[in-house]
Amino acid sequence: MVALFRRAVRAVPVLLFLACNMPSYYNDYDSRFDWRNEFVFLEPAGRFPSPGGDYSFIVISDTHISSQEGAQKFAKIENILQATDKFIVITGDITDQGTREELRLFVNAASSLPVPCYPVMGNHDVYAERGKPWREIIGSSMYRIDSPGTTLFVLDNANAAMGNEQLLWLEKELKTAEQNTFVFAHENLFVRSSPPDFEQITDIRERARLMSMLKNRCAAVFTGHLHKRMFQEAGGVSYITLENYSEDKGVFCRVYVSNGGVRLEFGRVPF
Amino acid sequence: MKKYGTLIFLLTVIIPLHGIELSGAEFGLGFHPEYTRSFHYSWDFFAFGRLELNDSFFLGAGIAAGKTWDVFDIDAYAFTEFAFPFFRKYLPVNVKFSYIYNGLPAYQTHIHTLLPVFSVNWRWLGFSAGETLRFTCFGGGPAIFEPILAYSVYVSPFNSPGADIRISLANFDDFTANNLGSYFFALNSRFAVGSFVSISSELKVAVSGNVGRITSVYGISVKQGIVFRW
Repeated sequence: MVALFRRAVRAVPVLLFLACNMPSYYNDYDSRFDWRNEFVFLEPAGRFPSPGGDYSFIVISDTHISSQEGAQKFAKIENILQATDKFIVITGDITDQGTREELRLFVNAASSLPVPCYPVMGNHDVYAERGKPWREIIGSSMYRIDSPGTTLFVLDNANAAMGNEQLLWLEKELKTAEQNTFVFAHENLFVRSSPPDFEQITDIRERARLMSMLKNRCAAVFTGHLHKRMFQEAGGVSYITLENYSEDKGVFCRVYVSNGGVRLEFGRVPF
Repeated sequence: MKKYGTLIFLLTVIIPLHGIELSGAEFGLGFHPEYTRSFHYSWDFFAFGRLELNDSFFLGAGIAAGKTWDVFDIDAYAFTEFAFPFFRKYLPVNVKFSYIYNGLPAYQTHIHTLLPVFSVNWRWLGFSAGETLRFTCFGGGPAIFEPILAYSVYVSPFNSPGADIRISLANFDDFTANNLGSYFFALNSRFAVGSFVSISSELKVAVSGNVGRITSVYGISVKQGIVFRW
């Protein structure tokens, strides 16, 4: 009996690790799919932009807004906007902790911009109350934006997985997508070095399914999360991982869209 | 330097192989249902075999085929493993080199993984570390290379010839090599039901989102099999 007890004790470190993490394993991220395409922050005009023929848009990532100063730095994106820029997309980690205060700072700054701003949910944005403040202040974490010639799909992989329902939804929606289709998510789909690129989409089979869906059907997929720039071409799709906007880097990507195709240009916002 | 390399090779590989003999063999098969957030229900049948030579060299291979969501899925692996002969009583170090294939033809995806791993396997506790070298071939395009740190740790609180229970945390197993933040907890058991036959079981809980406030259960799977050992 004593020997049995001693053997059981050997499992204690693992059981402790399991127990410590257990509260966080319960997650309601599947339920986020149930409230897709609901907009709290975006005005109706912003949901149906009319970019016209040739236009451009801005993508930034990982702003990590946690203070008024951070929000002001984000608002400085206005300084680099051109007449051709029709909207801005932020590929996740917009806030540092996902609190209501941080999200309101973002909303106030984004509302002052002359073009609509489309937020993508990142892992930092669900830290507070598992993403409840996001739903109250921003709305859905997965949605579709349509304009003549262009469709944007904002996806939610803040928990490192997209989920079956979201992929089925995307597969169905892609059938009615416009010629220029862009997909935005937070967590990177590829890694380049180990171990720094530690967190990406959980299931490599899910990535295969997504890539198969997007093959020759989407111009580019933008992600962030890693705070470094990466490119990958596969199946006629450009997969671009952006550097962070935070820490005074101010990195942005301008995407030029025309009948001739899509062209990328990178720059930095001067702070 | 080359001279020392040859000497180490002779000491560790050639000498143990002298008088080579089969010290053990096993063959197993089973069923593996799985539920994940990304695919809901998946399943496969699997079979594997393993040879032990001189208690130092191990050769193995396995194959699994089934369905992931609504598409055909095939996985296979082959490995060779070597147990270093020095200080085995105190530091039982093994080096294992695996090749893993994961094929999803409907998604035009074929993943080839090379996985060199060093492990220390005491009776009650063990860990291993290596590097996953993953080559993803998609849609006939060039292979996409990704290097990922591979790790595992286990404790084996009940360990005897008749019964073996093991709890482990890892981001790879024989059939798959996951990303760094995609680890799983596994409870493995094997109980002898005869002199040659054992029943093996595995309960695996996969985790997504790494350790932290976004960690969530990604999926759960069960492996139930029968193992014949000589």
